[in-house]
Amino acid sequence: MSCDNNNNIDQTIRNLCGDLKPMECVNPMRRALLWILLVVTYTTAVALTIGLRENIIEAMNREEYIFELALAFATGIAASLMTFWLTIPDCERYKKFIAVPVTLLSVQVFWMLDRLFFEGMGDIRENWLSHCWMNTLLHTTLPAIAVILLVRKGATVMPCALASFAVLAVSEFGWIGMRLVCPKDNVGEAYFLNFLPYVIIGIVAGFAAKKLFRW
Amino acid sequence: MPLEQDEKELKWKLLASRAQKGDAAAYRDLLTGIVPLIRRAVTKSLPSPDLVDDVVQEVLISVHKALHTYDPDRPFLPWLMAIVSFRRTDFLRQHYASQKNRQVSIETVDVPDYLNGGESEASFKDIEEALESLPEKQKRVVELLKIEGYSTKEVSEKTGLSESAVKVTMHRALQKLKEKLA
Repeated sequence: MSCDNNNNIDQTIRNLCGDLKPMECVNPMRRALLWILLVVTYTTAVALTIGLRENIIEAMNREEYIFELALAFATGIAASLMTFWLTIPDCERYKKFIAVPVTLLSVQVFWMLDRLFFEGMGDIRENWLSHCWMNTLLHTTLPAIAVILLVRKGATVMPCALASFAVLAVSEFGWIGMRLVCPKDNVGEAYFLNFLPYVIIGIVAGFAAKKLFRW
Repeated sequence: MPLEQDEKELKWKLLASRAQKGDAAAYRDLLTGIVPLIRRAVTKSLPSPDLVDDVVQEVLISVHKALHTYDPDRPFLPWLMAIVSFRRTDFLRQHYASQKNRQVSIETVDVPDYLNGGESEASFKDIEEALESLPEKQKRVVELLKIEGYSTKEVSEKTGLSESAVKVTMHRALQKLKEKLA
């Protein structure tokens, strides 16, 4: 080891010490709860602004509708927690929890395939691009920006996994919002049309994750 | 964990906690203390010893940037090692992304002199003997694949064995050679 290299490291340490300021510790759980509170409030507000679906009372009496919403909510909560847990370097201890959102998502996919098999795609409206996707954008833009800003305050060592769970969390809450405003429950609209944008966003986010969450 | 390691862990935990409150002296002690550990952790996996100090510095900067994510109630080492591993992988990815780092100069390759030197002659004899002792099929596959340099597909065509059978035969032959030469 040369003297020069030692000097460089000593110089780096001196610079870092000079740059030190008192700091507040990041609590990933607190940030996750803050984000969940924000997104639940926002989704409710957007759904009320756009207007709840006209058949909401009838839908609320259907077990499968409640099951789908509850499943999406549970997946969203689990994915949100996982997202924020992955924002700290020693996230190893939380890795076993990955199974929870992944299992919930698998149940959701299985449920969708089951419905697709027995019910088919159903009717899809012609104005889906201006209608459904615009509402989807409205539901998800702010939560997505909020999650990026909050996550960037951390220091992740698993940017791709983090991006996947962040997309999943945003998707699930956005999807719940869509199910509250969109009167159509067929597989074609409820799953393919309302989920497709998230799949695209997810793929893009996966590629951008390393740059987006660089620190 | 050995006692000495336990003491270091406790010390670093305390120093990190004080550093988070803005104690520059504790921070300097912490950074100086972890340098040998980081150096040890990265040395083996880097292609050249000249790069070690670059990675050490990057890790130190990362520790600085991520200090607010350390929870003083948790052990310090897993937190630090996660950063070390992340930065090392990042560094290697960038390093090998550059085309010139994938090329190795012929002068830097240390080729042993097999032709002159009694010891290597003896080793050759051992290998030949071990090869001779293999069953005919395994011997043929080793010769074609490793000595004559044919591909698995070509060996498969020459021997009439399937490609996966060639691979299995090769694997078994190597196991036997390893046992004989051990």
